[in-house]
Amino acid sequence: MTHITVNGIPLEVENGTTLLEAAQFLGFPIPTLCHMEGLSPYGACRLCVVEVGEGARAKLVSSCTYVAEEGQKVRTSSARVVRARKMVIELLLATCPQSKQIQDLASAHDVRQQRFRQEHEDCILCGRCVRMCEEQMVAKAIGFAGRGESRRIGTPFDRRSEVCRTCGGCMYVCPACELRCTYTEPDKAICGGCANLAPPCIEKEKFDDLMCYMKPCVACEIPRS
Amino acid sequence: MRGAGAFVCGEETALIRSVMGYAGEPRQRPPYPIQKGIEGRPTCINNVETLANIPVVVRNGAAAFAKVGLPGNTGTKIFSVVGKIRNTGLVEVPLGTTIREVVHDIGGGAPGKGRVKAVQTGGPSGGCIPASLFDLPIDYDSLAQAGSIMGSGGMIVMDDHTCMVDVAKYFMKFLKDESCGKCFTCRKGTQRMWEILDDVTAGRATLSQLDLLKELAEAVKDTSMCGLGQSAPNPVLSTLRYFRDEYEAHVVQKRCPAFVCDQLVGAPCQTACPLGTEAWRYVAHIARGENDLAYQAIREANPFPSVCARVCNHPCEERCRAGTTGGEAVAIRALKRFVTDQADPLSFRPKRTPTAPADAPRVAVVGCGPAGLTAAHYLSLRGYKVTAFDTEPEPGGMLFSAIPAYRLPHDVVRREIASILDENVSVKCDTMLGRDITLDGLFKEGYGAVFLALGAHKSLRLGLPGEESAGVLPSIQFLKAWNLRGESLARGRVVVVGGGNSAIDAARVAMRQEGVERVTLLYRRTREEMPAFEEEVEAAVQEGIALVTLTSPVRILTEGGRVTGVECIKNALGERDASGRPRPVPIAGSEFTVPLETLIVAISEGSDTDCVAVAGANRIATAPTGTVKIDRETLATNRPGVFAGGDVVTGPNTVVDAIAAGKRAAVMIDRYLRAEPLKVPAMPRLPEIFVAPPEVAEGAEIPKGRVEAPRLPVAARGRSFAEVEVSLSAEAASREASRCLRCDLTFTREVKEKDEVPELAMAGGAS
Repeated sequence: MTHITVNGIPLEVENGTTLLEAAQFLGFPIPTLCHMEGLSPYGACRLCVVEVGEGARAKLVSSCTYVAEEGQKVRTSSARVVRARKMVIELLLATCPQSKQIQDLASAHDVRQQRFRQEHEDCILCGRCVRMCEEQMVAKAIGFAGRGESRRIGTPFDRRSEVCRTCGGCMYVCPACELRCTYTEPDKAICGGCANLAPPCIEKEKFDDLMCYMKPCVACEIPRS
Repeated sequence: MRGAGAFVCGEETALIRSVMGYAGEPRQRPPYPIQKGIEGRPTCINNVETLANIPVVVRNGAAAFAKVGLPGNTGTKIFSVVGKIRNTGLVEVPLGTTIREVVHDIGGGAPGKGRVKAVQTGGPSGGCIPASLFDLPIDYDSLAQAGSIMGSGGMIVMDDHTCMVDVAKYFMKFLKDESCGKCFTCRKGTQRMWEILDDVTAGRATLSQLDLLKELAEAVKDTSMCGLGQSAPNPVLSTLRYFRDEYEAHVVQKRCPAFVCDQLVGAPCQTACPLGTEAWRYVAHIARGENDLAYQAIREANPFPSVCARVCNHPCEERCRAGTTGGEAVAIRALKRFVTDQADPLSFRPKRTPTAPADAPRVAVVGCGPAGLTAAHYLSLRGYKVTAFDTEPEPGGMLFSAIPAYRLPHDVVRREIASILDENVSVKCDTMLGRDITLDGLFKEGYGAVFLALGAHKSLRLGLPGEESAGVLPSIQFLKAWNLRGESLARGRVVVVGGGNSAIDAARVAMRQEGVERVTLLYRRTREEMPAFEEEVEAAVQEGIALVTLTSPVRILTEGGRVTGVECIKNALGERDASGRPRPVPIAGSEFTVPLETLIVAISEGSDTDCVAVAGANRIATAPTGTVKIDRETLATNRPGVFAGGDVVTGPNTVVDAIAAGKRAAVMIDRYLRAEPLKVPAMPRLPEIFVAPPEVAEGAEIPKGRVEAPRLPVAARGRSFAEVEVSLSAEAASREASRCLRCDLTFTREVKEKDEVPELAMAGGAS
């Protein structure tokens, strides 16, 4: 067993417990985006940062990936944590403002401004879809390619995947394009991008024989000409 | 396929993943590699440089190893010293060696006349350390405290030709491409930091964006998982910390102090000129043989072109890309001389753009030097009536009184002054502020605004006893006596103390006076540090003036109230002072005596501002040195309606800066009298007019090497005051002009294409 304190409350947790799990056990809210129950922790979105250590050694770590260490003192909403989190949300808003999850995060954390040049990207590279495909659908059809600015999600060599079963699980877990099926008419869509989005693993014309987990389904909601 | 050599694989967990056949991408530690590394097994992973220390420790023992370096930071470190430095290469030094030792003692300092201003340690994600911290011992803790890291031991040296914003942008470009992209804040953060830096270098950014940049940089540092993201903001944070003034120059003044950022610099010659003269434009016209158009380009920006063609310190040439990119700068001043020698200043009709209201009050200009006359001229062009006052019997100020005729013939000055005085300007000579007129009096008489351009006419004193004796002359008094009244005050053996232009002028004038045996110049540093123009020093040496450097006077010897000699002491060069020049340190016991008949003190000039510093509420604020205090941007003094510029504000300075001050004063006084706000947002000055480059025949020889302005042979100079520098030949001028790299074309090409389209259309229609 490992002994830690979270926001001053002493806690005993099983070895291997992450700081996120420990904090959630005590009921301290920590916002997450790339984290999802059932998928392995990845630590990409940096929203779940908490402060550990003291004095000059204090640092921010992503609570979803950091395993509790004996005697560790964790602060889940220190001024430093809040400041960093707000900047992460502002950056998310600047990148992908059409996502309802990101809008909700901004509203919940009182982020009222976005001072960067506005972008409208479809993807924040949280990697949920990649882990979903590998860990739950056991397909490994998609993965990350490139680095830095050219990092993106796709199939190997961007060819049509032989292992993809077009299950739609990737879209189901996507926090950025959650809204794509809410509106049936592209004109009325908040982002308007739903009609144009190509799911990474499938081709649009194959929507016909799609077996989809999404409610409502991508295939039946997009009007066909 | 990309993969090998990814920067992020400097991060051990990323390297381990890469070794295992996955894309290099770090993961959370703990567990550390020593617990769980390759294939989940304990792994020793370290830098080659670190591992190379093991044999030394094993062979000689830990104690022997720890003797090198500092406690807690033992051993040595290898640096790769590159950038603006004489000796580049790899150097291994004990930890604790200062940066100064590496940069100056081992590296040999900046090449050429550059001054090292910072080093970047730790590679792209290290930080900049400014020259003021060069005494910092190189160890892990000190570097971290200064905002940098040791990293892989890169040391990039930067001098005053390096723009710190551009440096940060350059590194950020690298980092945004090399971030693995896993952490959202590192990937997007580096992109957004680059975006803001790009805005700054293009002059699009605002001050609030600088705050956002800092906020973002701190967040990226705090929230990224691995060392790459945690240190990526270092270049931004350290340059913001130590060089915020450079950022603000870009944002507020739309100016890149190092002349690097294209969108702000435009053509460097134009931007470097305090008057904004389009040097590229007239050089281009000279290359095309269009000398009239060349004169127009010069004269539009400068009412004293013939004066500047002779005595300007040509900042344009210092920044000329033909020179800064490794070759020799275009001889812009000599080209200007060529053009102005062929034009009659009286034939030019400047464009009048009246802005003055019909009932505008008169403007008073006090001081008829280059600053005052320029202000009067441009105010006149705007439709104001101006009265210009001067103490001397003739307008011209320092152009007459300080600059000797062999550099600037009096008739050239007279002609140019005559060309800029018109019906709107009346000149009142022999009138002194404080004696004949007062500021209060001027306002009472109905003047709406006053421009103070009194100049700096008071030679500073050595502060040694005996300075009042006969034969000891302040340089300004000596030069004025000769230039204005033709009196020779020097005789016998002459010693001049000082290293500025005024000292050289005094020495060369003395050399030309009857009854002078020989002239010696004493300077406390070496010739390299002399503030005088290099070509002037060269000419002085040619004319037989003895240069005694590293020498300071300590005692004036007198006999019967007359100076007989000066006791001097030798100096050694010490640490660099605030001006970046090494401080002269006296060597004890090295005193020696120089016998002389005349001692000229030319260590600097101050402003005589007692006349404006009168008591009471209307007192014009002055600095302890006697210069008038103004708002640098608006030239306004503390008293409304009173503006000041030129040497009275800056202390002894160049002619071109004085003209620039006069030009600005005219704009400000115009705004003031029309009750408009004085401050307006700055705009970069970019080339606008397209001048087609001359056709060059295929295989034609491209001229190499700078043409030097021809000079009168030394033998022909003697005691004559004939002009020393003479004009270029037409052939030499067009050859030199064709060496111009035409930096302007980057900005004017668009305009050219627009111009050409209708022409082509017309040709098509006619056929």
